Amino acid sequence: MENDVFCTRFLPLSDGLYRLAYHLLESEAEAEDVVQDVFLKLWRTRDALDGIRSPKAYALTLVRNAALDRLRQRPRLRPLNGLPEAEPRTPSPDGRLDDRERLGRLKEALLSLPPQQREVVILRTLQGLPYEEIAQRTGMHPQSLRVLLSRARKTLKTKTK
Amino acid sequence: MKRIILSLLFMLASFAVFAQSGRAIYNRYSDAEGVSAVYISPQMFRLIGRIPELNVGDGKVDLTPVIRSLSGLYIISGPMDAIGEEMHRDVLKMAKSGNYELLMEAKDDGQTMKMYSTGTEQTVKGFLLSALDGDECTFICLDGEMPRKEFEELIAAIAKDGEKDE
Amino acid sequence: MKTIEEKIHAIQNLDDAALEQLADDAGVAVPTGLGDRIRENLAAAALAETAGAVKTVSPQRRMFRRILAASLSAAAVLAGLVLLLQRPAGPEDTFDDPALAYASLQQTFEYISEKVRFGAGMAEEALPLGERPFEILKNINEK
Repeated sequence: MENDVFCTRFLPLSDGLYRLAYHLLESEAEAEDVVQDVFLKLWRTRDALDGIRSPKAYALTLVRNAALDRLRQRPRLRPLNGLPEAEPRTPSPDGRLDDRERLGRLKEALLSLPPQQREVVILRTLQGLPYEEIAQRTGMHPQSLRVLLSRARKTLKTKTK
Repeated sequence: MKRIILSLLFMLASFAVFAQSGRAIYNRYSDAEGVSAVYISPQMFRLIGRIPELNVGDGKVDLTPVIRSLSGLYIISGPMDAIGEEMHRDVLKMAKSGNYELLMEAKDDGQTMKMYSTGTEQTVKGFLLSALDGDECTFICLDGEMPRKEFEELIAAIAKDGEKDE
Repeated sequence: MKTIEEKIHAIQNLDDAALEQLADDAGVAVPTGLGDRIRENLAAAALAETAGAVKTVSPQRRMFRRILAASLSAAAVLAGLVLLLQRPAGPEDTFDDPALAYASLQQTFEYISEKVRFGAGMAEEALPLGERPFEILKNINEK
């Protein structure tokens, strides 16, 4: 699935996915964690998503499964009583803590970019928009965009070494 | 028979030189899909030189001293998988056939860069840059009669200016 | 009070319609900026992919290119004659406005300088400098 199609079909589902996750886990932080994990999983498997008839139903199922995995990891010594729980720093169910840390560093570096650079990076790398379209949205010349993107990549690389 | 062969070889050599100029590379790739292309002609450089007060921009180095010595700029930027390999080979051929001297090359983690110039000790008549950066490739060709010292000082001044932004 | 096991069992039994109903519950407030944070995370993932991606040309494409190259070589002699007799018109200026052309020229020099800094940075790491001294490197280093 092309990046821009992925963004159009799946990103708008985020609010609904969060509401479901919150209902299942009764925790804002865990709900957001689950939603982020589900979106990463969707992104990484986007090449296989073209055949999905209902992106919403598929994504909700992923949220349900991720929430179940989280619940299974919770201590079973006492019943759920609706009290807020301390947020444990445990690895995600599939054990990808290193991956999370790496992505965390990249994300911090991305957030440290000046807003214009950050937006161009997101439009180009995430949404896969062609330079001409980014130029129209930002009012910049395509060549300027290439220079900006080149600088942003360099900054990101330096900050994630 | 020999004359025919020699004539053909001469014509082929002339063609080869033309095929490996900045203009030829620009013509070859500028219409490819996903490619951004920029060309500034000698006439446009003259017009630039006549603008009474150029808007240089905050903190940017003034290029007006070298503009009078530039006669052409070709830029091709595009996706690696579409044009990268072939364009890079064309640039290397151009550098070889045009007696360009390798000024600098560097390679690091998905980024490759080669820089060439041709001319004399005092004058830069041509400058080439071929850069491969992840999934993007860029070709820049500058033609002119730029005093070498001025050209190098200008690049250094902009490089220092750029370092302040980092 | 439900135990975790009871909750797990209940969730497992939720059908698609029930999931959708929970997802559509407007009574649950969505944190501000959630969409942006998701976008940023995905952009980081996309960047990570780009950093590691190496595109290769398939063997079929390579063979096709070889065949194409051979055919084109044969045609090159004829093409050379045609070209020399009739030089093609030069490309058109990209810009109509000299001020825009100047701005593009500035960006180009900035890009060139960025690459020089990249090369200079590599040279510093691999001390000493190469056999061909380059004035620009000296100028950058003599801050």
